Amino acid sequence: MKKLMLSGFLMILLVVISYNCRKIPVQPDLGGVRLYLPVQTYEYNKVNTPSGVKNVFYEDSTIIDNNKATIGRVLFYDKSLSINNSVACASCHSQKNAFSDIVPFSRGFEEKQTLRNSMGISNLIEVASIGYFWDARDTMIEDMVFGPIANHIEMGFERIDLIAEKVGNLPYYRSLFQKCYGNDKITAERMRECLGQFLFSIVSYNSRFDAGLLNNFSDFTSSEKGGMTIFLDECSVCHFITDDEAFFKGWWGGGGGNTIKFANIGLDEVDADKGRNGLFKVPGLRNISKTAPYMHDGRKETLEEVIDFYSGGIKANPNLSWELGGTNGPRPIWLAGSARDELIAFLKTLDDNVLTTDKKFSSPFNP
Amino acid sequence: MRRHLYLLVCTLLLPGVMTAAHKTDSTFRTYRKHGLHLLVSLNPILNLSKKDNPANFFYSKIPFELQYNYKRHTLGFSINGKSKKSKDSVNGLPNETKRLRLFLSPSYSYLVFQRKHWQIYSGLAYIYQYEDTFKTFKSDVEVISKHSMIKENGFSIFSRIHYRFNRKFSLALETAIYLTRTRTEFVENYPLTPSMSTHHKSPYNYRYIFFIPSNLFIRYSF
Repeated sequence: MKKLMLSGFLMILLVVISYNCRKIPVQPDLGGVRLYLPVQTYEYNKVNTPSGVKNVFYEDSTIIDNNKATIGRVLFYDKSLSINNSVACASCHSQKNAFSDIVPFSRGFEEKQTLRNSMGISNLIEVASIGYFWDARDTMIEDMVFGPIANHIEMGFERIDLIAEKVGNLPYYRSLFQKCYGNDKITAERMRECLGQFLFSIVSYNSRFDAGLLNNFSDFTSSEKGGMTIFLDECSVCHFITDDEAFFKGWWGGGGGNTIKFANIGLDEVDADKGRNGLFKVPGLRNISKTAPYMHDGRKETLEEVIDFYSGGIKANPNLSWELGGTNGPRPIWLAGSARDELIAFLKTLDDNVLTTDKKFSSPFNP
Repeated sequence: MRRHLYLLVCTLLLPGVMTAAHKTDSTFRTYRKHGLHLLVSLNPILNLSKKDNPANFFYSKIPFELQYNYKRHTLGFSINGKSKKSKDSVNGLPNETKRLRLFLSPSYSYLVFQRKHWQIYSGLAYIYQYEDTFKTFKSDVEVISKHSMIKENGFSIFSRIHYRFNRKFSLALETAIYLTRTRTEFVENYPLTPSMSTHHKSPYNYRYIFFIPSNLFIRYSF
């Protein structure tokens, strides 16, 4: 009888030990993730500028919703939006670099390199009519925001239809959606809207250039004024400025790079009008000194290199944009003497340190 | 299939025909009544310098085998395994990979032909191969796991020609036909997105592989 009981006990012990030895991944404490959001929601719908308080508008011309932009901020910094929780939007769009990346090609969720240089983000409303990404393939912000998330190199969430399910299972979103929408239902459409609202709230109007518009650039040094003159003569044909708001908009341009190969074909990839190899969207220049490296493939590390390229490095190309000479061959910008340094001095007046340090655009996760 | 069977039969008979003219030397013991032997494949050593060469596919599956013979009957058992644990970091996110490979093969062979220096064995082996890869990504919010298991089992019919240098050492050349079936099971677990979690079991994939007589072994008799 004793032997029987002992055998039974040993059997139970064996079963218990083998059960406990099973390899089951241990879930980390979800309390480990904490959001640091202010009690009073940040005002994403207004921005203090040298000329006073400006309203911030969304793509559909409505005023930005602070609660939606708050959710957008959390989503923007949340690594859970990548398939393996390794990268967030902010991984390639860092606030201190004016929401760009410091490397030519950023690293995606599996550390593979992306195909194009990460663009800076600010004043998206200025380029809304042109399109987003280097080839302007998306013309609606709410389409654009899921592009990198679903991309197989960037964030890898290819089954994008399931993104809301994942976010819905994260405990910290429920109360945010409840506060914003009146119920805690989390849908892809709401996520798109919130991300879009946050991205549109990232505006830059606090540069020395913006202050100069009010005082007729009286604070500008002679170099900076000289640089501005050169800019207006030589650069503003592509990077143009409107009279009222001094927007640095982008338009199409380029085609002056490598004439032999187009590893990265630009507009030709998305445009029905074929034969636009090498043409890319002209990026805005606000905070340009913080967004190195430059060009669609990050081939130029410094502003000096970029200006040298446009003043002597453009190559003949059948698709060269007319602003750079078109089919008549390269038309370099004219720089003499200290012109290059003056141009760079002017470009640095577009730096907006408020944008790169403002807490409302910073990470809401464990600081 | 028929061509391969021809080759197998030729490999089996040719040395016998070649050595049939030789008289049996009664002073030389062709086999021991019973004994223990170790069979070691030479192909991995011969191909060390070209590990990635696709031709290496034609290795015998058996890296070494422990054998016991009683008269003309030989029982063999081969086991091989490899376990590897590696840690990596993707964009600051730690991930861990555990790999396990296991190979088992009990076999039976019969000494069908013998001369002073030559022996021919023919036999049958059961093959079991298991490969397990378990990968986890641990973030603050969830642990994503990817688990793949490949199971292969089947039989091989083989024939080995031994050239005996002396009582201890012999060199063997093997030809074999493998008939196996493989099944892959793949489990992905996304705790926060259960709809993305998958459990996929493939149907059996049947394989037939013929190894030309190119697998070299050396046998040591204890």
